[in-house]
Amino acid sequence: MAEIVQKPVDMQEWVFQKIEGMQKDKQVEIPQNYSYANALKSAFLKLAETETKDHKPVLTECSKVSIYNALLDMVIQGLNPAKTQCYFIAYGKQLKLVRSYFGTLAIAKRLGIEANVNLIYEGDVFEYGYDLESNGKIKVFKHETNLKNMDNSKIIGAYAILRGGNTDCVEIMNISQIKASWNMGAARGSSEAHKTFTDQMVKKTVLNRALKYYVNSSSDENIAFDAMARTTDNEQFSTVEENYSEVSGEIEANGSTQEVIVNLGEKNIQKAESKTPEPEQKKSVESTEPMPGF
Amino acid sequence: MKLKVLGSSSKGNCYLLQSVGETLVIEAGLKFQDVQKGLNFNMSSVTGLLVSHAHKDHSKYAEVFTKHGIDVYMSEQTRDKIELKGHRVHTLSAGEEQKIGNFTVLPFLTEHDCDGSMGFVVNHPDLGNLLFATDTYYLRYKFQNLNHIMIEANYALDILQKNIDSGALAELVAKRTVKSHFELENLKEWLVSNGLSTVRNIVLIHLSDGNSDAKRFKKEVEELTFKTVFIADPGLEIFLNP
Repeated sequence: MAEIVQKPVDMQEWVFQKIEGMQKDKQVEIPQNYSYANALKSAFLKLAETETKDHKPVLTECSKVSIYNALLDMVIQGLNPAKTQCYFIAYGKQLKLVRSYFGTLAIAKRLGIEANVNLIYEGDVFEYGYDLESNGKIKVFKHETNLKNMDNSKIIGAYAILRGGNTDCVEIMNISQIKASWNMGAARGSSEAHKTFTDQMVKKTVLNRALKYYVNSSSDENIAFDAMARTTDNEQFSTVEENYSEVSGEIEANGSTQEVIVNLGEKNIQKAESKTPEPEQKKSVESTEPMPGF
Repeated sequence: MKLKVLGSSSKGNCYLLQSVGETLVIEAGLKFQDVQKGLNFNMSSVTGLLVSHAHKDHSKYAEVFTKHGIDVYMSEQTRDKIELKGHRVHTLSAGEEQKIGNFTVLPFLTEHDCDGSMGFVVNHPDLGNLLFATDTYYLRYKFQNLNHIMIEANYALDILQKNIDSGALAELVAKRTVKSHFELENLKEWLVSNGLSTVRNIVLIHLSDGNSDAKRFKKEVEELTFKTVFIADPGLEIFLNP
């Protein structure tokens, strides 16, 4: 065991063979369009630079079994660490896989589930109840919102609607349930992300909860569910990388989307005197002539 | 128009835009005495103060300005957050022009972990159009007809990561940085998307002490844009002409 831990390359091969074997024996089902070889390679690159709290490499600190299980969880769920769909975090000697929001979305997509999360703000017209005429499940009858109601401090709840993949369900949480869920996390719901991006964090929580119910109440037809359930409760942990990739997504969606044509001061310009300012400067630099632009 | 940088970091921000007989001060994060020194005690020339947001390194000394009879301008949220009162305090709304002496200011919203954060396009006959944006991890807007850009270049992701790995930077702090300040690559992308045909000078401001590299930032932006690029070190004085 020690020998394998000291040589991560050997371990990589070992895990690879193990998974290949399991796949041949039909013990696991690897998601389609998912190259576990690629994912394992990037996972080992990530693992090589992942450290424990005390800045020791996880590959030597964490137990071999826990590393293997974390990697297996990753492969079964079809997650790719290079796409920040999951992270490896060491809890003492245990290495655990933490699925990110993107990972959750990726899995939902793969299972053919269309997930939709909406926020309920103070002042919204929101009616829901049980659909007793058909299946007795919760149903949203009406939800009218208004731009004016959009305020992170006035979120009173949220609901997720899952459709497709043999499911059609609604998960509703009010804000105190959501906050109770955040309290289970390391940051206790008071991280900068929770404070500043309350809306997004709320959505994340509700989506994870909705998928969890779907997963836990399903049959074992998809073995990915087990691995998924193990990593569902880890949404509270975010990393710098995850934040950065969220920011990148936000920039892609909203960055430079609005054009401002600046024509200021042209209406009431008072002719400026062309004297130079007071000659008190010592290390002034004269700006140069324009260079060709783009 | 002369731009004078008195401070451009989390220790305190303050910039002066000086024309003949009138000065617009941007940010009040430095002690009033330091601003007075920077102005050669020529206080009567100050036509106004712009404050971008409520964080202390930008707003701490705004009240002192009002006590010296200087009109200060900021968003309503910023005013409420720093609890500033009095007839010298004016509020700005995003998209609404404000005349301050011969300066015209167009405020717009920026993306920071502080509600009511603003950036400004400042126009003056002696300056042209200057974009000022600090403490924002990206911009929703792109601007036509800019002549000069003063924009935050806070950190580079690789340096940040290195500092976390070496233990020099707490991960909690880094997580906040990522969601509140402009990263070099993101900034470069914005510069390209904005288009720079009318732009002559780019001043990189608010560089992080530990997570940036002034030389490298300057070089990379120069190579990308072919513009004159300055780093806003305290004491920098440059002329920005229309």
